[in-house]
Amino acid sequence: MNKKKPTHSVETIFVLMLFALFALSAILLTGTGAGVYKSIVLHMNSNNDFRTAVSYITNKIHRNDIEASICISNNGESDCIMLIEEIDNIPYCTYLYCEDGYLKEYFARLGQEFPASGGTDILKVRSFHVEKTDSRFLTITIVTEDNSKASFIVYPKSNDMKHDFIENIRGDAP
Amino acid sequence: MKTKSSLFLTELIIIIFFFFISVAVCLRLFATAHIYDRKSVELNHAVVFAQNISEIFYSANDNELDMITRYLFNDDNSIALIRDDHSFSFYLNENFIPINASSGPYKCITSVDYDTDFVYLNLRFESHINPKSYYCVYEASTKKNIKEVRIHEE
Repeated sequence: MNKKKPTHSVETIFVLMLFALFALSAILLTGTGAGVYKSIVLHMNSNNDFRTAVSYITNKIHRNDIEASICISNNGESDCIMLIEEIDNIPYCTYLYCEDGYLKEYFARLGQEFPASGGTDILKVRSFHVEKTDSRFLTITIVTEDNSKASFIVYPKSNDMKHDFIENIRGDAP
Repeated sequence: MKTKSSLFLTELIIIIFFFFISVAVCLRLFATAHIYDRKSVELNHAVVFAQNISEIFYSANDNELDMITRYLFNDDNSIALIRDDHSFSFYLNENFIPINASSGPYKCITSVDYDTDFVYLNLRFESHINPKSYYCVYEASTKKNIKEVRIHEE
């Protein structure tokens, strides 16, 4: 009379397999989600860094678009844009350059020495390169923190390169 | 016993059904996120490229289109351009660099219009990654005063 109860091993295995499938899918889904999120954040930061640099530098140059006021200087690893303006007949200079992994800005009296590391940090960049192209444009190349390289053009209307960009002039570019 | 087994089977079918619905929803979400991500990168590239073309446009006193083509293609006439008097179009690669091809992932259509006071530059960037369903990435129009250009020339 003592009849043994059937074990239903197929049912048990099926449930276990379903559970394993759930667990595996959950792990895969989390992994995929993390990958997608990482990619989005990376692109977003890269876009943001580059757009900030483009807007900042372009607006700085256009704001200072006065004849004989925009100079470029190359000193070793990084280039420097020098924007000269006169305040109460005293020449001042805004230096835009890359130092210690940052795009920096430094405002000082022209000719006055300054420590390159003393500028205000604008944003993180790996390198900053400026060159004149077609004798009237400034082509600025930036490598952002995630190693993406991009270039943009700025046309200083006043200079029009009749007056060529002065290189390594008065002032102490970093 | 039979009732118990069929109940168990029904329960499993419902579970699998919800499981597949969840997978479909999640995959769709990821696909949408990927598309938006790609669109934001495309938009960023297009805006920078449009800004570059606009800067060249502002630098030209006349023959704006000649100036733009000369600058973009370094006097390389072999670049595949579809050109008439007031507009031209060309293809760009995935990094938004103009390419010498009659098709590509992105297309830029540039045109110039004139009226008595202003010159207008119209730009349109299209994504042709899927040629059957291309879409506009970015459209922009900029203008400059002709009188200002003449004063500048004098």
